[in-house]
Amino acid sequence: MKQTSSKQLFMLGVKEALPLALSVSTSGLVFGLLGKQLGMTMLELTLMSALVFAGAAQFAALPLIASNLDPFSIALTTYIINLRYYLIAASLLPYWWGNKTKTNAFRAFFLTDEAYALTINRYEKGFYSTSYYWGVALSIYFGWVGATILGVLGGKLIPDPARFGLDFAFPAAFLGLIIPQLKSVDKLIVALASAVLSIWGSIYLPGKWYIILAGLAGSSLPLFFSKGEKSNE
Amino acid sequence: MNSTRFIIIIAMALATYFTKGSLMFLKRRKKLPPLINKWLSYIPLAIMVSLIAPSFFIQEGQFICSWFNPYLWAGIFAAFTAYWKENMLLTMVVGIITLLIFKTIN
Repeated sequence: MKQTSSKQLFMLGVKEALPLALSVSTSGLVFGLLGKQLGMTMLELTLMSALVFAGAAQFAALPLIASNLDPFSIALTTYIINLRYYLIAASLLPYWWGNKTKTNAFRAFFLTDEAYALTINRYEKGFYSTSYYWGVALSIYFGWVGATILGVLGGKLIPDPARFGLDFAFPAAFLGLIIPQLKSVDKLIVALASAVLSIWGSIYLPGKWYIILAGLAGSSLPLFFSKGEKSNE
Repeated sequence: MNSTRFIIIIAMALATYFTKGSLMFLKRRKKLPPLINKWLSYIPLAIMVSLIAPSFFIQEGQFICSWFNPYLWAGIFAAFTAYWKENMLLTMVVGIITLLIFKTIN
């Protein structure tokens, strides 16, 4: 990697982010369509995607805005849905410690589940590149904002995205990322526990809490099992 | 744009940035104990699984685990594709196509 220029690393990020950027764009399209149907304007929806940049929270906010809920309650809902970013930021932090606080603060705005998944995957293999992160993060950012605009414009083109199976783009793309990781017993335990907990939680817990619950509990389960072993990691 | 909506968008942006960015302002700390490091290394997988697992089993708030659930079938086919080919785009395409086929069959 010594000879690789930052431009090449940036493009590598763009390339590897493409499937996820496509899946994010699909959601962005749906977000634009839904928002338009709920009576929001092009300017409002574009601004929201560009400044908030958090898919699940934005989707959740649409019906709340339509029902004239107060700004504080909407912001609180946003905050709770996004709590998982604390975990995400915490696990990136050790890799980012070498940078200036200002740099990290700027980069953090562009964090998404998708950008995180790709970058941490690289970091864990010892591949650390700022340009790569920007390639990934910006592809997803512009995919999301651009698709929001297209969604508002093309209101009538895709009346029912679920009919074309596009609602499955996100889960399917993520499977491609998850399955190849399951190469140790510990990781299998984490995956199975998180799956069961999140399914249970999505039925019985309000909102997006199941992600926090399963993220915390599922990831700590193998720590109890492997206590006796001497780990070389 | 009406001003309430503008306030809502700004408030949402701040709430979101607080979760993404506030840890970045912490002062640098010593290296974390190995057990915590190990735990942090499992968190991404746990979160990724939690983000998608319900979408195979839950449709409109109902838990569906039967042979007639097209999302489950699409998930199984996509998972096998991911296992054999380790290719995200291909996995996504196989998943979507399988879903459409099983939706048509049902």
